Amino acid sequence: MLVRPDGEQLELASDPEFGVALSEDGRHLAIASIKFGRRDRFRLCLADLSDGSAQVLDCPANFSIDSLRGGVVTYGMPVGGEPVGFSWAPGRAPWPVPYQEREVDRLTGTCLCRTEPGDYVITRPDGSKLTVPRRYDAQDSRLAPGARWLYDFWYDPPTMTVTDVSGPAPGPTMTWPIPGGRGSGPVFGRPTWEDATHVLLTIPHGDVRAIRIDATSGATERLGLDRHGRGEPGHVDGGTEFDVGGFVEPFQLPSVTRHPS
Amino acid sequence: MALRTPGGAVGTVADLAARVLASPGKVRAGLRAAVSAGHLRVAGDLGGDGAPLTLTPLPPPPPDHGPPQSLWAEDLGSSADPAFTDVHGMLERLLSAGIAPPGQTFRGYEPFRGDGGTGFLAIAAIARTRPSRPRLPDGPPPAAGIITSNRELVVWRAGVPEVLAKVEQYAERAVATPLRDRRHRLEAGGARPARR
Repeated sequence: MLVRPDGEQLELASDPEFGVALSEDGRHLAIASIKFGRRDRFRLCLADLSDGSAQVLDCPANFSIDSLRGGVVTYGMPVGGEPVGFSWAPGRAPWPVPYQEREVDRLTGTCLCRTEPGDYVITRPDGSKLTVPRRYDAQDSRLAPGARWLYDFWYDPPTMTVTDVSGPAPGPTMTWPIPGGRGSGPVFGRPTWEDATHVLLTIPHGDVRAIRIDATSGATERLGLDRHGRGEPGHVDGGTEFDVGGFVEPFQLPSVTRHPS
Repeated sequence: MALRTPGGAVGTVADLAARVLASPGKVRAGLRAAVSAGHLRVAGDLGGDGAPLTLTPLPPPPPDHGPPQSLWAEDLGSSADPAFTDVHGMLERLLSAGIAPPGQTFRGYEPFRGDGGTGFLAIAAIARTRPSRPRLPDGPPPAAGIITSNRELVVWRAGVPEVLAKVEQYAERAVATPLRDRRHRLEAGGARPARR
Protein backbone atom coordinates (compact mmCIF):
# COMPACT_ATOMS: atom_id res chain seq x y z
CA MET A 1 0.00 0.00 0.00
CA LEU A 2 1.37 3.38 -0.98
CA VAL A 3 0.31 6.30 1.21
CA ARG A 4 0.74 9.71 -0.36
CA PRO A 5 1.49 12.84 1.68
CA ASP A 6 -2.16 13.86 1.48
CA GLY A 7 -3.21 10.50 2.92
CA GLU A 8 -4.40 8.99 -0.36
CA GLN A 9 -3.79 5.23 -0.47
CA LEU A 10 -2.89 3.15 -3.49
CA GLU A 11 -2.58 -0.62 -3.49
CA LEU A 12 0.66 -1.67 -5.16
CA ALA A 13 0.22 -5.43 -4.77
CA SER A 14 -2.23 -7.73 -3.04
CA ASP A 15 -1.15 -10.23 -0.39
CA PRO A 16 2.29 -8.70 0.16
CA GLU A 17 4.94 -10.63 2.06
CA PHE A 18 6.97 -9.09 4.83
CA GLY A 19 10.26 -9.13 2.92
CA VAL A 20 10.32 -6.23 0.46
CA ALA A 21 13.34 -4.57 -1.17
CA LEU A 22 13.61 -0.87 -1.91
CA SER A 23 15.85 0.32 -4.75
CA GLU A 24 18.90 2.46 -4.05
CA ASP A 25 17.10 5.64 -5.12
CA GLY A 26 13.88 4.73 -3.34
CA ARG A 27 11.77 4.83 -6.50
CA HIS A 28 11.15 1.12 -7.00
CA LEU A 29 10.00 -1.55 -4.59
CA ALA A 30 10.14 -5.31 -5.12
CA ILE A 31 7.21 -7.08 -3.46
CA ALA A 32 6.48 -10.79 -3.15
CA SER A 33 2.73 -11.17 -3.65
CA ILE A 34 1.94 -14.64 -2.36
CA LYS A 35 -1.52 -16.15 -2.15
CA PHE A 36 -2.25 -19.68 -1.04
CA GLY A 37 -5.62 -21.12 -1.96
CA ARG A 38 -7.23 -23.53 -4.36
CA ARG A 39 -4.91 -22.04 -6.93
CA ASP A 40 -1.73 -20.79 -5.33
CA ARG A 41 -0.33 -17.63 -6.82
CA PHE A 42 3.26 -16.42 -6.55
CA ARG A 43 3.95 -13.04 -8.12
CA LEU A 44 7.03 -10.88 -8.05
CA CYS A 45 5.93 -7.25 -8.44
CA LEU A 46 8.39 -4.47 -9.19
CA ALA A 47 6.40 -1.33 -8.40
CA ASP A 48 7.28 2.16 -9.59
CA LEU A 49 6.38 4.37 -6.65
CA SER A 50 6.26 7.53 -8.76
CA ASP A 51 3.05 6.42 -10.49
CA GLY A 52 2.00 3.19 -8.76
CA SER A 53 2.54 1.05 -11.88
CA ALA A 54 4.11 -2.41 -11.54
CA GLN A 55 5.97 -4.94 -13.66
CA VAL A 56 4.91 -8.45 -12.69
CA LEU A 57 6.67 -11.82 -12.96
CA ASP A 58 4.57 -14.93 -12.42
CA CYS A 59 6.64 -17.49 -10.51
CA PRO A 60 5.95 -21.24 -10.42
CA ALA A 61 6.66 -21.62 -6.70
CA ASN A 62 6.91 -19.71 -3.46
CA PHE A 63 9.95 -17.47 -3.35
CA SER A 64 11.65 -14.90 -1.15
CA ILE A 65 13.17 -11.62 -2.29
CA ASP A 66 16.87 -11.25 -1.66
CA SER A 67 17.76 -7.81 -3.02
CA LEU A 68 16.96 -5.08 -5.54
CA ARG A 69 20.09 -3.49 -6.90
CA GLY A 70 20.76 -1.77 -10.23
CA GLY A 71 17.22 -2.48 -11.40
CA VAL A 72 17.72 -6.24 -10.92
CA VAL A 73 15.68 -8.25 -8.42
CA THR A 74 17.34 -11.32 -6.96
CA TYR A 75 15.23 -13.98 -5.28
CA GLY A 76 15.42 -17.55 -4.05
CA MET A 77 12.98 -20.25 -5.14
CA PRO A 78 12.91 -24.04 -4.71
CA VAL A 79 13.54 -26.05 -7.88
CA GLY A 80 13.38 -29.82 -7.51
CA GLY A 81 13.45 -29.46 -3.74
CA GLU A 82 16.63 -27.38 -3.73
CA PRO A 83 16.74 -23.60 -3.36
CA VAL A 84 17.97 -21.86 -6.50
CA GLY A 85 18.83 -18.19 -6.92
CA PHE A 86 17.43 -16.16 -9.79
CA SER A 87 17.78 -12.62 -11.00
CA TRP A 88 15.18 -10.76 -12.98
CA ALA A 89 14.84 -7.37 -14.61
CA PRO A 90 11.68 -6.24 -16.42
CA GLY A 91 11.81 -7.06 -20.12
CA ARG A 92 14.08 -10.06 -19.64
CA ALA A 93 13.58 -13.69 -18.68
CA PRO A 94 14.85 -14.62 -15.20
CA TRP A 95 18.34 -16.12 -15.14
CA PRO A 96 19.86 -18.43 -12.50
CA VAL A 97 22.47 -17.11 -10.11
CA PRO A 98 24.29 -18.81 -7.20
CA TYR A 99 21.95 -19.15 -4.24
CA GLN A 100 22.95 -18.15 -0.76
CA GLU A 101 20.85 -17.62 2.32
CA ARG A 102 21.91 -14.10 3.19
CA GLU A 103 20.93 -10.62 4.22
CA VAL A 104 21.95 -7.77 1.92
CA ASP A 105 22.41 -4.26 3.24
CA ARG A 106 20.59 -1.91 0.88
CA LEU A 107 22.91 1.00 1.57
CA THR A 108 26.26 -0.68 0.99
CA GLY A 109 25.59 -4.02 -0.67
CA THR A 110 27.34 -5.76 2.22
CA CYS A 111 26.12 -9.35 2.72
CA LEU A 112 25.63 -11.28 5.95
CA CYS A 113 25.70 -15.10 5.87
CA ARG A 114 25.99 -17.84 8.47
CA THR A 115 28.39 -20.71 8.25
CA GLU A 116 27.48 -24.25 9.23
CA PRO A 117 28.92 -23.91 12.78
CA GLY A 118 26.90 -20.74 13.21
CA ASP A 119 29.58 -18.08 12.76
CA TYR A 120 28.69 -14.93 10.84
CA VAL A 121 30.50 -14.01 7.65
CA ILE A 122 30.26 -10.46 6.39
CA THR A 123 31.19 -9.92 2.74
CA ARG A 124 31.80 -6.34 1.71
CA PRO A 125 31.29 -5.02 -1.84
CA ASP A 126 35.07 -5.03 -2.41
CA GLY A 127 35.13 -8.76 -1.74
CA SER A 128 36.80 -8.57 1.66
CA LYS A 129 35.36 -10.88 4.30
CA LEU A 130 35.05 -10.65 8.05
CA THR A 131 34.14 -13.58 10.28
CA VAL A 132 32.38 -12.89 13.58
CA PRO A 133 32.35 -15.95 15.88
CA ARG A 134 28.92 -16.97 17.10
CA ARG A 135 27.85 -15.96 20.59
CA TYR A 136 26.48 -18.95 22.40
CA ASP A 137 23.79 -16.94 24.08
CA ALA A 138 22.56 -14.68 21.32
CA GLN A 139 19.52 -14.61 19.16
CA ASP A 140 20.04 -14.26 15.42
CA SER A 141 22.24 -11.31 14.63
CA ARG A 142 21.42 -8.83 11.90
CA LEU A 143 23.20 -6.05 10.06
CA ALA A 144 22.22 -2.47 10.77
CA PRO A 145 21.69 -0.27 7.69
CA GLY A 146 25.09 0.95 6.56
CA ALA A 147 26.66 -2.33 7.75
CA ARG A 148 28.64 -0.83 10.61
CA TRP A 149 26.91 -2.86 13.30
CA LEU A 150 26.07 -6.50 13.76
CA TYR A 151 23.40 -6.52 16.45
CA ASP A 152 21.26 -8.89 18.44
CA PHE A 153 19.16 -9.08 21.58
CA TRP A 154 19.07 -11.10 24.74
CA TYR A 155 16.13 -11.22 27.09
CA ASP A 156 17.33 -12.15 30.58
CA PRO A 157 18.48 -9.58 31.45
CA PRO A 158 17.08 -7.62 28.49
CA THR A 159 20.04 -6.32 26.55
CA MET A 160 21.14 -5.34 23.08
CA THR A 161 24.62 -6.24 21.88
CA VAL A 162 26.29 -4.38 19.03
CA THR A 163 29.57 -5.35 17.40
CA ASP A 164 31.38 -2.90 15.17
CA VAL A 165 32.06 -4.83 11.96
CA SER A 166 33.33 -1.91 9.88
CA GLY A 167 37.03 -2.49 10.62
CA PRO A 168 39.53 -5.19 9.69
CA ALA A 169 38.62 -7.17 12.83
CA PRO A 170 35.25 -7.37 14.62
CA GLY A 171 34.86 -5.15 17.65
CA PRO A 172 34.48 -3.54 19.96
CA THR A 173 31.44 -5.46 21.17
CA MET A 174 29.19 -3.55 23.53
CA THR A 175 26.16 -4.73 25.46
CA TRP A 176 23.55 -2.23 26.57
CA PRO A 177 20.71 -2.84 29.02
CA ILE A 178 17.18 -2.30 27.76
CA PRO A 179 15.24 -0.55 30.52
CA GLY A 180 11.76 -1.76 31.15
CA GLY A 181 12.22 -4.96 29.19
CA ARG A 182 10.94 -8.13 30.76
CA GLY A 183 12.89 -11.32 30.94
CA SER A 184 10.17 -13.39 29.38
CA GLY A 185 11.22 -14.01 25.82
CA PRO A 186 12.27 -12.09 22.76
CA VAL A 187 9.86 -9.31 23.51
CA PHE A 188 11.18 -6.41 21.51
CA GLY A 189 9.33 -5.30 18.44
CA ARG A 190 10.96 -5.05 15.06
CA PRO A 191 14.03 -2.87 15.66
CA THR A 192 14.25 0.09 13.32
CA TRP A 193 17.47 2.00 12.76
CA GLU A 194 16.68 5.69 12.64
CA ASP A 195 20.17 6.58 11.42
CA ALA A 196 23.67 5.09 11.54
CA THR A 197 23.81 4.94 15.34
CA HIS A 198 20.28 5.11 16.78
CA VAL A 199 17.90 2.19 16.99
CA LEU A 200 14.21 2.39 17.92
CA LEU A 201 12.54 -0.40 19.89
CA THR A 202 9.06 -1.09 21.16
CA ILE A 203 8.78 -2.72 24.57
CA PRO A 204 5.49 -4.56 24.94
CA HIS A 205 4.02 -4.56 28.46
CA GLY A 206 6.69 -2.16 29.76
CA ASP A 207 6.24 1.08 31.66
CA VAL A 208 7.92 2.78 28.73
CA ARG A 209 6.62 1.57 25.40
CA ALA A 210 9.14 2.90 22.92
CA ILE A 211 12.79 3.82 23.32
CA ARG A 212 15.76 5.02 21.31
CA ILE A 213 19.21 3.56 22.06
CA ASP A 214 22.50 5.07 20.92
CA ALA A 215 24.59 2.11 19.78
CA THR A 216 27.86 3.88 20.53
CA SER A 217 27.10 4.96 24.10
CA GLY A 218 24.08 2.98 25.24
CA ALA A 219 22.29 6.24 26.05
CA THR A 220 18.57 5.53 26.09
CA GLU A 221 15.63 7.88 25.59
CA ARG A 222 11.92 7.50 25.94
CA LEU A 223 10.23 8.40 22.66
CA GLY A 224 7.82 11.32 22.74
CA LEU A 225 4.55 9.85 21.47
CA ASP A 226 2.14 12.38 22.93
CA ARG A 227 -1.01 12.66 20.83
CA HIS A 228 -1.37 16.41 21.37
CA GLY A 229 -5.07 15.72 21.42
CA ARG A 230 -4.98 14.36 17.88
CA GLY A 231 -5.96 11.02 16.51
CA GLU A 232 -8.39 8.49 17.85
CA PRO A 233 -8.47 8.06 21.59
CA GLY A 234 -6.69 4.81 22.36
CA HIS A 235 -6.99 2.64 25.39
CA VAL A 236 -3.46 3.11 26.70
CA ASP A 237 -3.11 5.77 29.40
CA GLY A 238 -6.49 7.18 28.43
CA GLY A 239 -5.26 7.78 24.92
CA THR A 240 -2.71 10.45 25.82
CA GLU A 241 0.00 8.62 23.88
CA PHE A 242 0.01 6.79 20.58
CA ASP A 243 0.08 3.05 21.05
CA VAL A 244 3.02 2.29 18.82
CA GLY A 245 2.83 -0.90 16.79
CA GLY A 246 5.93 -0.32 14.67
CA PHE A 247 8.18 2.35 13.27
CA VAL A 248 8.41 3.68 9.75
CA GLU A 249 11.86 2.85 8.40
CA PRO A 250 13.49 6.15 7.39
CA PHE A 251 14.77 6.42 3.86
CA GLN A 252 18.52 6.68 3.53
CA LEU A 253 20.53 7.16 0.37
CA PRO A 254 23.40 4.75 -0.19
CA SER A 255 26.78 6.17 0.65
CA VAL A 256 28.95 7.04 -2.35
CA THR A 257 32.68 6.54 -2.13
CA ARG A 258 34.68 8.68 -4.51
CA HIS A 259 37.31 6.89 -6.54
CA PRO A 260 40.75 8.20 -5.61
CA SER A 261 42.13 10.16 -8.54
CA MET B 1 30.29 -14.97 38.47
CA ALA B 2 32.52 -13.58 41.17
CA LEU B 3 32.55 -16.96 42.89
CA ARG B 4 33.70 -18.80 39.80
CA THR B 5 37.21 -17.44 39.74
CA PRO B 6 39.98 -19.50 41.36
CA GLY B 7 40.61 -16.71 43.84
CA GLY B 8 37.00 -16.33 44.92
CA ALA B 9 35.92 -12.75 44.59
CA VAL B 10 39.30 -11.81 43.11
CA GLY B 11 40.27 -12.97 39.66
CA THR B 12 41.09 -11.88 36.16
CA VAL B 13 39.14 -11.59 32.95
CA ALA B 14 41.21 -14.49 31.63
CA ASP B 15 40.18 -16.66 34.64
CA LEU B 16 36.54 -15.91 34.05
CA ALA B 17 36.83 -16.51 30.32
CA ALA B 18 38.28 -19.96 31.01
CA ARG B 19 35.55 -20.77 33.51
CA VAL B 20 32.59 -19.74 31.36
CA LEU B 21 34.11 -20.86 28.04
CA ALA B 22 33.80 -17.44 26.44
CA SER B 23 36.28 -15.04 24.94
CA PRO B 24 37.75 -12.31 27.18
CA GLY B 25 35.91 -9.74 25.06
CA LYS B 26 32.56 -11.37 25.78
CA VAL B 27 33.34 -11.67 29.47
CA ARG B 28 34.23 -7.99 29.52
CA ALA B 29 30.97 -7.10 27.75
CA GLY B 30 29.03 -9.24 30.22
CA LEU B 31 30.72 -7.60 33.20
CA ARG B 32 30.01 -4.14 31.80
CA ALA B 33 26.35 -5.05 31.31
CA ALA B 34 26.13 -6.39 34.87
CA VAL B 35 27.74 -3.24 36.26
CA SER B 36 25.49 -1.06 34.16
CA ALA B 37 22.40 -2.93 35.37
CA GLY B 38 23.50 -2.53 39.00
CA HIS B 39 24.09 -6.24 39.67
CA LEU B 40 27.83 -6.06 40.21
CA ARG B 41 30.65 -3.79 41.35
CA VAL B 42 34.03 -4.25 39.69
CA ALA B 43 37.23 -2.88 41.18
CA GLY B 44 40.30 -3.03 38.96
CA ASP B 45 41.20 -2.53 35.34
CA LEU B 46 38.66 -4.20 33.04
CA GLY B 47 40.85 -3.45 30.04
CA GLY B 48 43.56 -6.04 30.68
CA ASP B 49 42.96 -9.79 30.51
CA GLY B 50 45.38 -10.51 33.35
CA ALA B 51 44.70 -7.55 35.61
CA PRO B 52 43.33 -8.55 39.05
CA LEU B 53 39.69 -7.66 39.50
CA THR B 54 37.55 -7.71 42.61
CA LEU B 55 33.97 -8.57 41.78
CA THR B 56 31.27 -7.83 44.30
CA PRO B 57 27.73 -8.95 43.57
CA LEU B 58 25.33 -6.25 44.70
CA PRO B 59 22.11 -7.08 46.52
CA PRO B 60 18.92 -5.92 44.86
CA PRO B 61 18.00 -2.41 46.01
CA PRO B 62 15.45 -2.29 48.85
CA PRO B 63 11.93 -1.73 47.60
CA ASP B 64 10.86 1.87 47.71
CA HIS B 65 7.16 2.05 48.46
CA GLY B 66 7.13 5.83 48.33
CA PRO B 67 5.38 8.01 50.87
CA PRO B 68 2.30 6.60 52.61
CA GLN B 69 -0.86 7.24 50.68
CA SER B 70 -4.45 7.15 51.78
CA LEU B 71 -6.66 4.42 50.43
CA TRP B 72 -10.38 4.83 50.90
CA ALA B 73 -12.64 1.89 51.09
CA GLU B 74 -16.23 2.93 50.81
CA ASP B 75 -19.65 1.43 50.59
CA LEU B 76 -18.72 -1.86 52.12
CA GLY B 77 -22.30 -2.99 52.51
CA SER B 78 -25.38 -2.31 54.56
CA SER B 79 -25.50 -2.02 58.30
CA ALA B 80 -27.06 -5.46 58.35
CA ASP B 81 -23.74 -6.85 57.19
CA PRO B 82 -22.12 -8.79 60.04
CA ALA B 83 -18.88 -6.91 59.34
CA PHE B 84 -20.46 -3.77 60.71
CA THR B 85 -21.51 -5.44 63.89
CA ASP B 86 -17.86 -5.76 64.86
CA VAL B 87 -15.93 -2.99 63.21
CA HIS B 88 -12.83 -3.47 65.30
CA GLY B 89 -12.78 -7.17 64.54
CA MET B 90 -12.95 -6.42 60.86
CA LEU B 91 -10.10 -3.96 61.13
CA GLU B 92 -8.03 -6.62 62.83
CA ARG B 93 -8.70 -8.97 59.95
CA LEU B 94 -7.79 -6.30 57.42
CA LEU B 95 -4.58 -5.56 59.27
CA SER B 96 -3.62 -9.21 59.49
CA ALA B 97 -4.32 -9.52 55.76
CA GLY B 98 -1.60 -6.98 55.16
CA ILE B 99 -3.63 -3.98 54.08
CA ALA B 100 -1.89 -1.89 56.72
CA PRO B 101 1.03 -2.71 59.00
CA PRO B 102 0.09 -3.51 62.59
CA GLY B 103 0.36 -0.48 64.79
CA GLN B 104 -0.81 1.87 62.08
CA THR B 105 -3.12 4.37 63.71
CA PHE B 106 -6.33 5.56 62.19
CA ARG B 107 -6.44 8.96 63.78
CA GLY B 108 -9.02 11.08 62.10
CA TYR B 109 -10.53 8.17 60.23
CA GLU B 110 -12.84 6.77 62.84
CA PRO B 111 -14.99 4.04 61.44
CA PHE B 112 -18.64 4.26 62.26
CA ARG B 113 -21.75 2.20 61.93
CA GLY B 114 -24.48 3.12 59.57
CA ASP B 115 -27.88 3.73 61.07
CA GLY B 116 -30.17 1.64 58.97
CA GLY B 117 -28.92 2.85 55.62
CA THR B 118 -25.78 2.02 53.70
CA GLY B 119 -22.67 1.74 55.82
CA PHE B 120 -19.45 3.55 55.02
CA LEU B 121 -16.04 2.84 56.34
CA ALA B 122 -12.86 4.82 55.82
CA ILE B 123 -9.48 3.17 56.21
CA ALA B 124 -6.06 4.71 55.92
CA ALA B 125 -3.48 2.24 54.72
CA ILE B 126 -0.11 2.09 53.11
CA ALA B 127 -0.43 1.78 49.36
CA ARG B 128 2.23 -0.55 48.05
CA THR B 129 3.59 1.01 44.92
CA ARG B 130 6.11 -0.53 42.57
CA PRO B 131 9.74 0.26 43.18
CA SER B 132 10.56 3.48 41.42
CA ARG B 133 13.10 3.45 38.61
CA PRO B 134 14.89 6.52 37.36
CA ARG B 135 12.80 7.99 34.61
CA LEU B 136 14.34 7.86 31.15
CA PRO B 137 15.10 11.20 29.53
CA ASP B 138 12.57 12.21 26.92
CA GLY B 139 13.68 12.11 23.31
CA PRO B 140 12.11 13.41 20.13
CA PRO B 141 9.45 11.40 18.30
CA PRO B 142 10.60 8.83 15.72
CA ALA B 143 12.07 10.61 12.69
CA ALA B 144 10.00 8.88 10.02
CA GLY B 145 6.82 8.19 11.99
CA ILE B 146 5.04 5.17 13.40
CA ILE B 147 2.27 2.71 12.69
CA THR B 148 -0.03 2.47 15.70
CA SER B 149 -1.74 -0.66 16.89
CA ASN B 150 -4.91 0.95 15.47
CA ARG B 151 -3.24 0.87 12.01
CA GLU B 152 -2.80 4.64 11.94
CA LEU B 153 0.18 6.01 10.01
CA VAL B 154 1.44 8.91 12.13
CA VAL B 155 4.14 11.40 11.14
CA TRP B 156 5.43 14.36 13.14
CA ARG B 157 5.64 17.72 11.43
CA ALA B 158 7.30 20.52 13.41
CA GLY B 159 6.92 18.36 16.49
CA VAL B 160 3.18 17.94 16.06
CA PRO B 161 1.78 14.50 15.26
CA GLU B 162 -0.41 14.08 12.22
CA VAL B 163 -2.42 10.97 11.45
CA LEU B 164 -1.67 10.70 7.75
CA ALA B 165 -3.88 7.72 7.05
CA LYS B 166 -5.61 4.79 8.59
CA VAL B 167 -4.67 1.72 6.60
CA GLU B 168 -7.12 -1.09 6.23
CA GLN B 169 -4.82 -4.05 6.51
CA TYR B 170 -2.65 -4.96 9.42
CA ALA B 171 0.65 -3.26 8.65
CA GLU B 172 3.68 -5.29 9.58
CA ARG B 173 6.25 -3.07 8.01
CA ALA B 174 6.44 0.54 6.81
CA VAL B 175 9.16 2.17 4.75
CA ALA B 176 9.58 5.86 3.92
CA THR B 177 10.51 6.80 0.38
CA PRO B 178 12.11 10.02 -0.82
CA LEU B 179 9.69 10.87 -3.59
CA ARG B 180 7.96 14.23 -3.51
CA ASP B 181 10.04 16.18 -1.12
CA ARG B 182 10.71 13.12 1.05
CA ARG B 183 7.15 13.09 2.27
CA HIS B 184 5.99 10.10 0.34
CA ARG B 185 5.33 7.19 2.63
CA LEU B 186 5.19 3.67 1.60
CA GLU B 187 3.79 0.94 3.66
CA ALA B 188 4.04 -2.68 2.73
CA GLY B 189 2.53 -5.23 4.99
CA GLY B 190 1.48 -8.81 5.29
CA ALA B 191 0.30 -11.14 7.98
CA ARG B 192 2.88 -13.81 7.32
CA PRO B 193 6.14 -13.62 9.20
CA ALA B 194 9.45 -13.08 7.47
CA ARG B 195 11.17 -16.25 6.44
CA ARG B 196 14.55 -14.99 7.37
